[in-house]
Amino acid sequence: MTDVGETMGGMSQQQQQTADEVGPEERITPIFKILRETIKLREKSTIIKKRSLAGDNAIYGHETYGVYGTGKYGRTSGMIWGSTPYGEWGDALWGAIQEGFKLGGAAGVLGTAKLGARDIEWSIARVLNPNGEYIETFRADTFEDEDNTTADWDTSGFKINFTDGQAVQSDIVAKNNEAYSTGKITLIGTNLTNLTLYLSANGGGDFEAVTNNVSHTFSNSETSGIKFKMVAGSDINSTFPLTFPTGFGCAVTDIKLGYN
Amino acid sequence: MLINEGKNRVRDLIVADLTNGELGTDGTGASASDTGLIAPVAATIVALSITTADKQLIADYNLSSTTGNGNTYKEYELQLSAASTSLNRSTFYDVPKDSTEEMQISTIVDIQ
Repeated sequence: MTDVGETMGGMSQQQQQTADEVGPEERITPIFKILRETIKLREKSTIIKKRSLAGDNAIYGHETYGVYGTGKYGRTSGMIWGSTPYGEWGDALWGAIQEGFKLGGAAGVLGTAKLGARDIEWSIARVLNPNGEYIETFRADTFEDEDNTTADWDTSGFKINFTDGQAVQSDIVAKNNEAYSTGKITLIGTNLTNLTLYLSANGGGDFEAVTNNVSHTFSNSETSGIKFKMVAGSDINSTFPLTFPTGFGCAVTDIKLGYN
Repeated sequence: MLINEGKNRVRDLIVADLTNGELGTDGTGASASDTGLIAPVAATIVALSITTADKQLIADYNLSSTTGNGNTYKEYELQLSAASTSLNRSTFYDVPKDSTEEMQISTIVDIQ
């Protein structure tokens, strides 16, 4: 028969043992994780453009090109103020300087539109990127060459969407009077193997095939700057099997283009 | 977590503080310790026109054909409203300008 005192003593030992095994370190202790986050300010591209007003231009109100009797309205095929062959009142035509003011035209509203050469084309003098790296996140279409782009440069969804055979071509993304020797384009997106990539180091004169995230040595390089081009395969929307969840097509969400 | 609308608020505060652009003629490479342009041309101080997108601002600067002529420009900065404070300084290879030319500069800045 077991003594009551012995039983109680055994229980006390068990409790003591349990307490020892748990130990003070095993008590629940709140841990506060500190997530370090930063807001970074990133200077991206700086684009410097110029345009020349020289020639037979007249800009209404302009200090140099708007002087009555000195500035000339029109171009050689239109009206030139004071010119014998092109200045005949009632004969020669006013306006039409590169689709500037044209009397009677959509851009020629009297009292609203301004006379002169408003649409003389800008040329890119410099495109500067800190640390020799162009970065594109598709917040704006500043660098989209609309004339040579069929894919969807989506500034709402912040990406380029491609379907069968579509292409995107950039304007000049780097230019500083240097003939660049190497370039490396790195893409982030979905189904990127559906794209064929190209870089040009002579302002779009020659596009050379490149591989994503692989440095490329240019064969043709001049000081006219770098452009990129991407072309989707002709049947990327019918590829089988479907890649879940990305589905058909492909998209680019970020571009980094390093050069030197 | 820092959320997008907070970052866009930071962007807007910067936009509100940006005032002018200015060109200069010294092409010494930019450094974080720079305190503005090295050889500024005061005539080229022009108010900026700023547009925004998600976590991004684009500051546009236009220099007319009647201003800042006869110089070869090599540096450019964005100025903040606080006295003598610049946001950045960019240097580049020579860009000459005369009275037949206009210049336009766009600077893209992201908030990450």
